[in-house]
Amino acid sequence: MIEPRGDAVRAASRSLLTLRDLAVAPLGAAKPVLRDIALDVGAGECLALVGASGTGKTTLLRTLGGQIAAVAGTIELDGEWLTALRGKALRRLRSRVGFVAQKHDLVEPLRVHQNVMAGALGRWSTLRALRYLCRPTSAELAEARSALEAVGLAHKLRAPTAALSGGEQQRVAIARALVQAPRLLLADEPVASLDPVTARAILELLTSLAKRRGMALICSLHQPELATRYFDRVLEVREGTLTGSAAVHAAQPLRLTA
Amino acid sequence: MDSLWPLLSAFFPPVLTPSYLRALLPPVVETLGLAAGSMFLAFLISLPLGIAAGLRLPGTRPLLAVLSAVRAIPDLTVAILCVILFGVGPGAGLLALAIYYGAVVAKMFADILRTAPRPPLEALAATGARRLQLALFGLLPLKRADLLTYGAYEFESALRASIVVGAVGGGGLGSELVGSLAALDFPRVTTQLIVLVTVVAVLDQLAVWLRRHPRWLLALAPLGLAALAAYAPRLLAFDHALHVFGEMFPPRLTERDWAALLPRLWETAWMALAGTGGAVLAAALFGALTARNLAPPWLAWPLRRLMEVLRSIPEVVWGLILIAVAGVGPTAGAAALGLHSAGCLARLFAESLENAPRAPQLAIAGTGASAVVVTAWATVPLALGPVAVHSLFRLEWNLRMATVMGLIGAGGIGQALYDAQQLFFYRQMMAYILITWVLVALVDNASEALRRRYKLNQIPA
Amino acid sequence: MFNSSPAARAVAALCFLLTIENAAAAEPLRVGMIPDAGATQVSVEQKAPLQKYLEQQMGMPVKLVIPTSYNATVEGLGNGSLDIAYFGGLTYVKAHERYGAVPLVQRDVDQQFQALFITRKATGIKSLADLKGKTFCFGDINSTSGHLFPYLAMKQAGISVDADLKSTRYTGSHAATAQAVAAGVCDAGSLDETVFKSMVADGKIPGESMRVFFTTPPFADYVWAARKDLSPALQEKFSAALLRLQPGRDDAILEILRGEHYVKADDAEYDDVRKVGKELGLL
Repeated sequence: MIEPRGDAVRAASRSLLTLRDLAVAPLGAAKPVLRDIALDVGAGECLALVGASGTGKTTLLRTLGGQIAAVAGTIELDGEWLTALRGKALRRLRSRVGFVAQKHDLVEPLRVHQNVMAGALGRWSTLRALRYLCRPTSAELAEARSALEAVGLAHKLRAPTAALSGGEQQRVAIARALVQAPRLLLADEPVASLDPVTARAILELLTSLAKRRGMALICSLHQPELATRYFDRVLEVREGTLTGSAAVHAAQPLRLTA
Repeated sequence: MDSLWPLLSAFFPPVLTPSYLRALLPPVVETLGLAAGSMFLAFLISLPLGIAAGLRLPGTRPLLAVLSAVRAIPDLTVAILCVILFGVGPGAGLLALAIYYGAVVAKMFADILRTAPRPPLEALAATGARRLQLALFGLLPLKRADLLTYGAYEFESALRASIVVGAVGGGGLGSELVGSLAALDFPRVTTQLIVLVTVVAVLDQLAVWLRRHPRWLLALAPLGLAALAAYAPRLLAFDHALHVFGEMFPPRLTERDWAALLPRLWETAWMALAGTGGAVLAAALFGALTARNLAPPWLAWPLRRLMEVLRSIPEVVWGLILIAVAGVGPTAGAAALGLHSAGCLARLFAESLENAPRAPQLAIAGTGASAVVVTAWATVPLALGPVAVHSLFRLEWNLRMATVMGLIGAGGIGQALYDAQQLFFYRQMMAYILITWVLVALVDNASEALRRRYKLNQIPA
Repeated sequence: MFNSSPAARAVAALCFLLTIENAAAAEPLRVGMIPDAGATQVSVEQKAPLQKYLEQQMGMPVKLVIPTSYNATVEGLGNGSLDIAYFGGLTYVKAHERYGAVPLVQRDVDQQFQALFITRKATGIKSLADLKGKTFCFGDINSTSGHLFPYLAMKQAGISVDADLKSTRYTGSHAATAQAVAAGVCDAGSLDETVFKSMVADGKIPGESMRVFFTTPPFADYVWAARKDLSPALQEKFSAALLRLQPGRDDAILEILRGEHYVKADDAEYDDVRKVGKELGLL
């Protein structure tokens, strides 16, 4: 286990993300899919969400990512209320929330380094973003390379993204999240379409990076044994609410009703 | 461009007097009749041919080769031949369209029916069904949806083509248009264009409706039959036609013609390349400005209507207009191809942008990127593949159309064909027809090979 | 299923229209008029008075057809899709040679027709010799006054169309030539004198900035001709109908035909055109 750095520990002492009385009804849903959600996550903490498919894990993650608006309750990230923000301020806050999806969320026609540096778009000006597409500077490329090094893909810097395997693409998505340097990293079934060996490697990478960089990690999974093995806490989403919370490190595997 | 305004103002106001609109009714009816009659004939010919190919009867392979070959003669070239052989008026236009679309539809039917799943057919054959029964109870029901959908699509193309054959003497609205343009009677040209755009828009709606209710295609059959009776070319003149056809053989070019051939072909290719290139640039802009996910509705709506007007006026009609106002030459031809293509491509590009996968765009937006940056980093790169395919298809189509633009004065190989025709040098004319034929067939084959290699495909739009 | 739907009614209505058209077209006299503006206004509406006049004089239905090109008009007399056609001098000669077209009548001006060479005053072209190194517009390649005789005039003045002119093009019609010259697309052009005068009079081109710098010697041009197996009685009737036209009484018709008096036409008038056409390789 990697020892958390001092500042990460300090941050963990107070909550990074706080949810209170949250209710979410995605467009077209008659009644809320999620309700009465309350949660505190500290910096550097790794949290797994488990539960049968269709229970609302993805909806919760997309709400936290700012893609779906909550109908009631509050989301507080780093002392700011996500639910009250609009426009530029919302975009700025979004840039502090990273997202890794199950698959299909890289822009395949772009090169690997372009997908990686997409993580920086939240802090770049529009002009700089457009310029990078045609003429990346060597400093920017170096940043992309170091992010790729962290996921073991530095040699694929200029490769076409479409030519990568599923596991490699997932690493690129993680590298993108690293460049974004978010305070909160959300991962929606990041290993669902990967073989078991690759899946373990990806989860190991995610959790260790979260610890090392002091990010809060919330990750949905459908394999409970992976959740208990790699995560600090496992929560079950069931019938629209969160249940079952426990610290799993050093403890015996949690019994889960899935 | 200070000369543009007087040029445009010459087209306004259109002549909208009731008496003129009434006078335009017969040509419009003639145009509709041409489309209905020729398609009726085309379907009549192609259904048995398609079934023969679908049942894999012996001898269908060479037959299909012949159909592909006929399809490579542009419709306007066929129309010119028919006008010479059978006379001016709707009879020639009808025959030309029936020949061209007969080949197109038969090839399409054959392709559809040959891909019918074999096991149900073999099961039916095992019950001792005869060939006709096999076709009626096996083949046609299996592929009915495809046949009707593509049938409705071809009917739509035939309608546009029926306006175009009039330009070389095939009757209908096209002939009227050529008359008004020759007299520089631009206000009446505007009226005809308004009528044309309206008719095409109405028929577009009809075609959309027909695709959803395809059995109504059958209801058009009596219409086709009536048109056929009204416009059938006078069969008495067949021996004359044969005689004149004989005059076209053996084809021959003079030494001077051979020397001028390469520059002329280059002019044709240039027309297609310049027209397509310009259209791609314009469509990139207007496609983005009309895509529902990128442009605000108050901007997208009027631009969409503008693009509809651009594409509902066929290339040849644009060519006739531009040549009348700007003079003969390949520039007018390229501009004509460009205007129509821009209208078509803008819609396809807009669709490509709208259909770009959502997830990667959301992912980029999720990093905090602004809308402009999401467009540049995700939406546009994701749409580039389909955009390239559409552009290539357009280039192929425009290469074929460029050979035809010369027939109305836009230069290139078509112009040489037209000049030879006008001077009654029929052996020379036939030589140009054959050269055009071979070239179009080559482009067709090259593009088909390319498509198979890269597994590109396009649903007719 | 066909009774109630509006679509069904539309189909039925169209069938009906087509049948009417077919019935009305029962063996009419088909008259082809090339849209060269050499003598005609061309929209269907504007030609209606001429069509009515002919129907009334001939006592039978008449269909006016726009053949869109000289070639289609000549072939029309050959394949029987036209009974009577309006030709230029050179195309008449071709129609006569190919299909034995019979000359009927023509305007008096057509027997002594002239072609004009025009330019914008600004070009400084004042004679045929000045055309060297300039761009030039002919009308239709088959036009007598737009191509054949101007070509001959240049040849006789020692100008080689291929070698001496910077470039030449065929505009396709007299009106287009006039516009092309006025707009500066070509430095100079040649065309039918009656078209030029009427376009100046109508204000379609600015007469004050144009210059006519050469007028060809007279030749025989436009003529109405019949298919050789059209019955002599119909040929006679058609000729009589046009010969009977009188200024003052039939102005509406005469304006469409842009003439005043009609006279009988004769094949021998065209011997010159025939000779020149052969000489220049156009026949």
